[in-house]
Amino acid sequence: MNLILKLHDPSIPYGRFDWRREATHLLIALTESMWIAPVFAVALDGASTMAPYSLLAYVVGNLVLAMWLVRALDSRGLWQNLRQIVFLAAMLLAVLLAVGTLFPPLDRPLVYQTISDNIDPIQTLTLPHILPVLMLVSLVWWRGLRLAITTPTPFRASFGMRLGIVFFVGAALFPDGQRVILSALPPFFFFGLLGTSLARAIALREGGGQSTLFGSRWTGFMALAAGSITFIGFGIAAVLAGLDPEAITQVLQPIFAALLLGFAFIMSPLFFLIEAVVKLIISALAGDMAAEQIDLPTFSEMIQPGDQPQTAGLEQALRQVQHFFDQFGGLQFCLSVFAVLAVVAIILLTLSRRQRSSQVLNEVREDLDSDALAGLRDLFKRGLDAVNGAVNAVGQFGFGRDLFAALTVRRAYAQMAAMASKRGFPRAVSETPYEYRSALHEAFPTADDDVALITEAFVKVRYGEVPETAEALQAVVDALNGIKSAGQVRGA
Amino acid sequence: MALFDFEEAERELLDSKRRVTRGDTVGTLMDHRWVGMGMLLFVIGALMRNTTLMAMTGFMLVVVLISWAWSRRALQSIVYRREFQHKRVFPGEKIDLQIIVENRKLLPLGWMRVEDEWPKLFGPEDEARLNESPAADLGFLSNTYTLRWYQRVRRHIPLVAHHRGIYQIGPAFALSGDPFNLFERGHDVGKLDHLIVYPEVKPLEELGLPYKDPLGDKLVRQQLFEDPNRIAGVREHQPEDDLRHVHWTATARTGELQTKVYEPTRSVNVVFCLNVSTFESHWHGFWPEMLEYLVSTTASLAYWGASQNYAVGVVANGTLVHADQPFRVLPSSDRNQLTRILETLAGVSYIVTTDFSTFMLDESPGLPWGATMVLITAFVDDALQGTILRLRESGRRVVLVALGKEVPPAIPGVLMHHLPIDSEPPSIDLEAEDNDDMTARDRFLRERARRESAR
Repeated sequence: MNLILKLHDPSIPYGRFDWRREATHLLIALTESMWIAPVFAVALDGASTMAPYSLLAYVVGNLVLAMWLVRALDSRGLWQNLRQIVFLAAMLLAVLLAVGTLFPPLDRPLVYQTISDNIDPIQTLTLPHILPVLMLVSLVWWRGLRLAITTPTPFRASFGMRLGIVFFVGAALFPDGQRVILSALPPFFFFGLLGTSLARAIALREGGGQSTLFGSRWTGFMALAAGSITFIGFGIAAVLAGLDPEAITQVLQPIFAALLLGFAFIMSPLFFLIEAVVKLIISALAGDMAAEQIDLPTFSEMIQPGDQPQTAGLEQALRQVQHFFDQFGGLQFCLSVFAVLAVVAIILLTLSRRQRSSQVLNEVREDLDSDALAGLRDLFKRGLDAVNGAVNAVGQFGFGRDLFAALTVRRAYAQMAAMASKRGFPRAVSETPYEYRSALHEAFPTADDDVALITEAFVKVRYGEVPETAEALQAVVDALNGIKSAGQVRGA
Repeated sequence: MALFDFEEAERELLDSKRRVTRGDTVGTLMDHRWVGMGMLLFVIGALMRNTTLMAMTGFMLVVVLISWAWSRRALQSIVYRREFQHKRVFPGEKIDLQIIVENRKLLPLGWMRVEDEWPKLFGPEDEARLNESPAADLGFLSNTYTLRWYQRVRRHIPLVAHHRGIYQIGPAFALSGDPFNLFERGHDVGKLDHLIVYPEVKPLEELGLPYKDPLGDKLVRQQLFEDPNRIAGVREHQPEDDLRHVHWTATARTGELQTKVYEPTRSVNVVFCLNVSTFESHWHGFWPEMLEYLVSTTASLAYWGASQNYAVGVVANGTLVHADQPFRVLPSSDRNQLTRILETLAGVSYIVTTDFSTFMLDESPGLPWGATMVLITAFVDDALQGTILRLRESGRRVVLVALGKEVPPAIPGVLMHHLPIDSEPPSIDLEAEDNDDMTARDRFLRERARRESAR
């Protein structure tokens, strides 16, 4: 109840609307939903039989609803007791709806088993059905309340991620949870990473001093980076875990379908507008008769799957889009006009905001084009040199022991030189290893023999001669260790 | 890859142009314990054939690895520098500061916060720009940046010089990391800069001094010194002549030793002797307004002297900031002399090295003979009167400028100006309780004042 009492926390600055803060709240809520959903799947019979993304959508809906309800109540400045009553009533309604529709009472008690399905259950627990539903829905609403009344900080955002990992580990031990976890992993990491980025941006903006804008371009870049890392991470994780392609497809298919659906939803008014304009132009050019004869494909026809093989999810998504626009075909023109107006408004708003922000920040940005080209050239050259070096090294020493021995000696020399450099004896560009040896002796006065041994070995390797025996190679490693310990003693 | 490329590895080793090193990890939200736990769970998942557990932990490890690698390179090839419109200004002047940050690498910088240690007395025009610092007279100029690959950001900040002094700007500490905040790295960036705020220079009329000959009718009655740069002629060598002055060309021509005859030096030497003590008794503490008045008066007189083409110099019984010895700028008519004097006066602190009367007796032998000594002091006590009389008796020309409230006693043969300060000295509340805000010095002075008062 303490949290309920904190429904209105005067320390939280709700004063000015900041889309970054609202987006961070939403992203943290989405992250938390991803790890709460597997708990539902583990704990409730009805949830375990639901499609993973349906379950995720249900949890997301509840959590976001709870969060926004609290924020709406708070922003309205209602009487405190009334706010609590409204919130508790909404939560009760959510529980009743869950019990009444999604997770109806079973004619048998719930039995929980631990450990994976190929191992015998080691523990069973029997509970009345209403109790876990009440607990889980309350958990979702409690998290929604908690998120709504706290200022999103990087630590809090990452706390949700870390808590989620722990919950995932727990849920991964249950067969029912495993199915949902795989689907929840990519969005969990994507929302989590983006949420912490935005939380950091808010903290930096509100932390005093002159901050950068952290505007929509930055957010877009962060979303791209988070998406790329999520994609790479999931790919590598799938390979490491040995997931079968079917499981990977099941996870990725709805994500791509959702992306496509979103794209189609946003772009379709423009497509309709283009279609209308093209028809208009053709009719104007060719006359009414000609226009009647020309049968342009409509958007609905364009997005027909046709004979091309499509995945089930994609096909379903396209059908949904088609159905939607077929149903509301009469609104095409209105939607198109609305879309154009919205785009123009967004462009004007962005330009004015950018002008205003640049005046406020008093900041000038310049691209270092020549340096960028030089950097790219340098990167390319270094890559080429590295490949060339690798080929030469392999050509000189082969793939066997000699290559390993040469690399060991070279590393030992590089580490020795780096340590000497830290002690104030850097190697000059023109110095040969023998010339540099005197400086090394000064840097490590108690390790003369070790310095000489490594230098000799390095020079020999430079000319293609590697330590022949394992003992000789070990002597180089021991010499480096001797220098390290000599350095520590000197430092101490 | 450099591991395979011997030439490249050597080049990397010898490359001294690295701008900023990687810095140190100063914070992490997923430290080695999380990585260890992830690896352990991955192994457990493999043993249990739990692919979900393996995928989950593998995913986490990949994200942590990428973030860690990104954070390690975040601060590399970052250039941070400050460009000031002027580095030497007078109080009240405004200058433009440009802070330039460059990201000279392909990896974009998701965020970077730079905290630059900044003196409040030479701070931004908008004082709210400075964040609080543990030091009372310092603040932090905080700037947050996001930088694309190979991008430069310039920010203009107007600064105002509020007070005389020599100010150190920096060091600056940069904090950055991966864009997702799993790892934070910090490093010192940029170099230290120094800004100088000269003392206020006023016209003599404003100070209450006559513009024409404020130091008396004849500054120098007799020149005893010769200027080796100006040869007046040649004469026969005398046994008491210095051999270094032999004119060898004339000697060769005449066949007899010839000595150069120099013109007497024409420069008029004026040394301004500044008494940094603001009270007769040291336990009275320090009167900031009086010190500024003393320094400003000295600077104004030095400015006037330089404009008259006099060779001017300054000595004082105080120290410069970050120093513990009295300073001395010997008279010179060099065109940079005024700048030198103003810079020196800009750094005068309230710390007194020795009693002014003793200091003057010790210092006078080192000053050019014939130089006019202008003593600028807040008070004239008995000891100082005695010192002035001794200087007079030894043939020195002394001018006294007293800035205290009390009219100084007349000293025969000494030109004197009394320019009393407008403000009142700070009083020590002997009855007040000590509190935590007081420094050890304040406590000592109050205790000493109590004892002296009781006596």
